[in-house]
Amino acid sequence: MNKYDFLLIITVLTVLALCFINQLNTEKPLLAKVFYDNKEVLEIDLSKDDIYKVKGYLGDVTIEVLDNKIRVIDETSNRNLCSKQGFVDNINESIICLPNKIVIEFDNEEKLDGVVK
Amino acid sequence: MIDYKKQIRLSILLALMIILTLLDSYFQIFTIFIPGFKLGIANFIILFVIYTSGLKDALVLSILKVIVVGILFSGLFSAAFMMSLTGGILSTLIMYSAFKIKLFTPVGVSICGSVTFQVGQILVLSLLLNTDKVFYMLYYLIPLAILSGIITGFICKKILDETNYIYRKEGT
Repeated sequence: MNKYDFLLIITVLTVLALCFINQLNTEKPLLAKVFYDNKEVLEIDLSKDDIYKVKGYLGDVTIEVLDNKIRVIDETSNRNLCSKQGFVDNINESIICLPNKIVIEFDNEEKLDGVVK
Repeated sequence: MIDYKKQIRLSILLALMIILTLLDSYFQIFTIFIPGFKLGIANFIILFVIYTSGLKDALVLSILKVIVVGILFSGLFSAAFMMSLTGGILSTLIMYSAFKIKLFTPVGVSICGSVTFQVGQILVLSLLLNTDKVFYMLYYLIPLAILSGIITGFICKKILDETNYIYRKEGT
């Protein structure tokens, strides 16, 4: 490795760190939206602990809400990546189950509008 | 005239690459902790071809690899197929330009390639899912890509050092 290699690594990591600091968000997620095949199918209020069932491409996807956090407990796919992902509570993070075409995203806008009013 | 020697060499490399990708997919340890991450050891063969043979062969090889692996495992035109096709083409192009500016050692070129691969595949994923939240994954994918880039870069450098004599004699 020469000095340009190190320079490259440092540049990439610095840009990444700057983006990360820029994006740091301590805001708590209040609302989650579930999309199936790019269409919104369910809106979840994160303040209520509950279990939801959504139809996925390969079978039912079971979603659990607990303490403002959300996770997938059960789904049909060959690698089960999204149920292994566990609880998610960072507003920038999302749960994506590609085989089931399911995306779970946080969205605060509507709730924030309510606060402003 | 068809250069049979080169064709045979490239097909052996392609076969080797497919086997390495297969081996790669058995390393499930990484995918349990980090969704979407694979080591990508097969990348060093693309790097090797860029150094010894040129851009055209490297592009053909990376596209063929994605198609064959797609037929064998994930299925043609699936999401994973589209992601690795875009990532593969992008990273090959970027690695070639990094190789051309002659500043980096194979390690640096390999890092360029693996980082671009991640960016390209996340780009496709965000287009497929119609969301920009997936870019969040890059925060942990890029440091890991740098790590795997260093590993594959060192492997490639070692192989280049060992085989330099043979390939230099045949010309590029």
